Amino acid sequence: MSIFRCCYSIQGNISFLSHLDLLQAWQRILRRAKIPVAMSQGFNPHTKIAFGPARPVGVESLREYFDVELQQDMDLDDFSRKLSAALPEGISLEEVKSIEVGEKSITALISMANYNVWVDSAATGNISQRIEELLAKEEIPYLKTSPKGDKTVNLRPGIFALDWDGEKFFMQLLAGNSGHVRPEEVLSCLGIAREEATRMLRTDLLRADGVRP
Amino acid sequence: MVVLKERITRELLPFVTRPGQYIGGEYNQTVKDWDNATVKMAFLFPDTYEIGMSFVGMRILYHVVNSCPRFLLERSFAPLVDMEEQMRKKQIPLFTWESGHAVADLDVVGFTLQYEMSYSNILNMLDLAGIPLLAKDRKEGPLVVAGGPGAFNPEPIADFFDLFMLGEGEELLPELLEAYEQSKAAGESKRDFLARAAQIPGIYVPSLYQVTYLEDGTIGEIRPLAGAPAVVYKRVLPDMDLAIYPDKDLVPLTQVVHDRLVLEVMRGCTRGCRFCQAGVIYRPVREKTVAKLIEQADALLESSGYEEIGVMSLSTADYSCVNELIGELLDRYSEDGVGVSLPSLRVDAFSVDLAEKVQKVRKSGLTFAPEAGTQRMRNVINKGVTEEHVLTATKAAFSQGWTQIKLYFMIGLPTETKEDLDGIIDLAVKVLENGKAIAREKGIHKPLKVSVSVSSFVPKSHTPFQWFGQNTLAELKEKQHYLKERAKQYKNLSLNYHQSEVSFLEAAFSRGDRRLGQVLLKAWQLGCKFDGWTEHFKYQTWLEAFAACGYTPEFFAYREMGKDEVLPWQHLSCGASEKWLWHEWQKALAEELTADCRHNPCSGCGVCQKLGVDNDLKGAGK
Repeated sequence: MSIFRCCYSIQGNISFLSHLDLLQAWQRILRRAKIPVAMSQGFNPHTKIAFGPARPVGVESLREYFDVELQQDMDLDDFSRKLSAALPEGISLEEVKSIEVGEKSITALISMANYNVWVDSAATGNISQRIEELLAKEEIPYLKTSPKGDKTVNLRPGIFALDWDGEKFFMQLLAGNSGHVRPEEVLSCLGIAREEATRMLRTDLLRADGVRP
Repeated sequence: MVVLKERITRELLPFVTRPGQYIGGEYNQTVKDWDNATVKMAFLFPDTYEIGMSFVGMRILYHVVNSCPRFLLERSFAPLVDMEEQMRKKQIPLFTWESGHAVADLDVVGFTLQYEMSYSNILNMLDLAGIPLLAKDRKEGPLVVAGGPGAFNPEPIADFFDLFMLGEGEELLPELLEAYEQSKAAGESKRDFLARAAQIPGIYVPSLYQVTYLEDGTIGEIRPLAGAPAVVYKRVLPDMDLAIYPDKDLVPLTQVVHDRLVLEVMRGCTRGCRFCQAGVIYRPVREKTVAKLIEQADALLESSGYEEIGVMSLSTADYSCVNELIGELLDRYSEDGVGVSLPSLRVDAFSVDLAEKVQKVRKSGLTFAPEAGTQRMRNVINKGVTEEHVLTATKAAFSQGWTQIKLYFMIGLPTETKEDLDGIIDLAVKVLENGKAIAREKGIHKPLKVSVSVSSFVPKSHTPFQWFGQNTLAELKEKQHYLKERAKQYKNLSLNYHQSEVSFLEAAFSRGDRRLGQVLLKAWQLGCKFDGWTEHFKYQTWLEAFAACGYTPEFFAYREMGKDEVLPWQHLSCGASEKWLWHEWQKALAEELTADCRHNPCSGCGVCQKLGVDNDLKGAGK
């Protein structure tokens, strides 16, 4: 029985789907493609699919991941062709590779994400200095709001890199089981409102050693 | 013409809750070439995406219009309050989900009228689209039209629409768009087009009818002008196997209320429940063959990836081939993990067996609708159900492992007495006691639950109860209170009811006439919208709107209408004669039953004779 690690991109307005919506959408895509996905045993069986870390709503991405286990062996090219034919507009299959039974799942592997963030130039005066000052801080307190309650967290340990190339930011941020820093949170700490960002793009998801999963 | 899509993406979507509902892009979405379409139509659902996308009528018409090479149909829905706020602040008009064009840039804007309490949303959506609300103020710009059950009494919203479509739209809508196409090519004035459209069977142009009123406030006369027909009859398809049905269906990317493949097995119901508007306006019964349904299910499953098939109609257990169909669906698809669901159950053991077939694993709850608590009352409403039916069905359900039964009743029905209210509780208690006995016998320890849901009866046009004045708010509240107190005495019995203020206004609008247009406009100006949502419904504001216009909702909702009174919808017909409806009303008061004409002699409603159609059953069936 095959296990495939799929990498896909998601671009355009479809990136406004929530992570949960996307999980459901993938179930439908796999069914449409007639991929024989393995089911867990038990009273309430579910498909054996493991997803990478949640993508913030409205952030496009070049590399998102899921692992899917099949009921039987399947040719990798056949799998890719069938899956590609069933995708909605805005989602493309970028890469599929076979992984071994017992290999660490994608959920446990990812620990950081790279982003490009384009911002209206009017909001970026004096930006190098603002970046330098932010990175110099030992603690960056940030109030995270959620329906479950608000909580102040320190963002600093989750910001691995932050740079501006005159057109867009490059950010390398914590993502995965041990927590998330979102690009709009970093913008906010730089004094840039969400309204000023014209596009946010996740360019990569990486393991702790900086290698793709 | 500016394509708004980019502004929507940048200025709206990042700042609203659940933006996924505004993006379209569903699998099987049709985006036709904008510049090559001769007539562009927007289909507007006057509620949110998650509700609108559950409506199968929209999916059918989407397919029908987009299958016409020269026409284009795109969708739009009511934005939630936070989205509306952003749109107004940033001056972005209501747009279509497919191409992101302003709704006002399309030729025809069509609403579906599913529920009276969505009318304020219609005004709000027109306003968001930048389209003048009143038809008389629209010398140019899109034609504003509507269809759906509400089109059988559209008088309260007549001021806002250019025309209405009565009955089934599969043939009528393309005919209308063709007429519009010719008119547009010929450079005809709107006035001339409307006069011509009024000649198409099923099209009602309200501006071509003059309504006068008597001193007592009732209608004096409804007079057709400019050669418009005295009575507009609905359109109806004779054979559902030949009706166009989508083979590819929009697959929502985000959560919607009914997220499943919908298989419409038949249209119409002839059980003749006297409170039910659908049971009159969708007549006669027309079934599809099992072969046709399997063909449709195959195609839709293949192109969607759905994991559930909803077998839909007004009363699916009455479909003459239901056993064969369910068996075939389960045989074909259950191995692929595709389930079958039956949204409407009849009150009998046969229906429980059906439910058992499709719901092998997770048996949560079953709902039955006896509608009334005593046999006398059930005879009045012509619900051909006996107490024995109810008890047999619920016993069967408990025996087969269900532990939660929901019973649906109405209060405020004609001739109701305290005995009928007691009957509701007594029946529910009997059901519960039976359940407990079965549980003891079988050694089931899971607690049983019977919940009673009570709604306030709303008289609807085109039904035998259309003449009946609704119970007053005070009466309804008193009845609710009485039932609540009685239900309290029983453990494992719960009772819930809806806000009767909503039912009160619903009655005013369902029996209302053109004068309510002003009230609706006022109410919307005062901030009413999403009136069907408890958290948005503003009862006091509605009363203010009525008062400001010099009317009362009581006049429209509470008045018992006389036999000779000119009904506001007298010129609009689904084929059922007023004479027959009155006869049924008198039989109701005499507590006499009328048999289902599917399996018994014709009851004389007049639909088949008038419209040249017939009941069309495809099996010998049950």
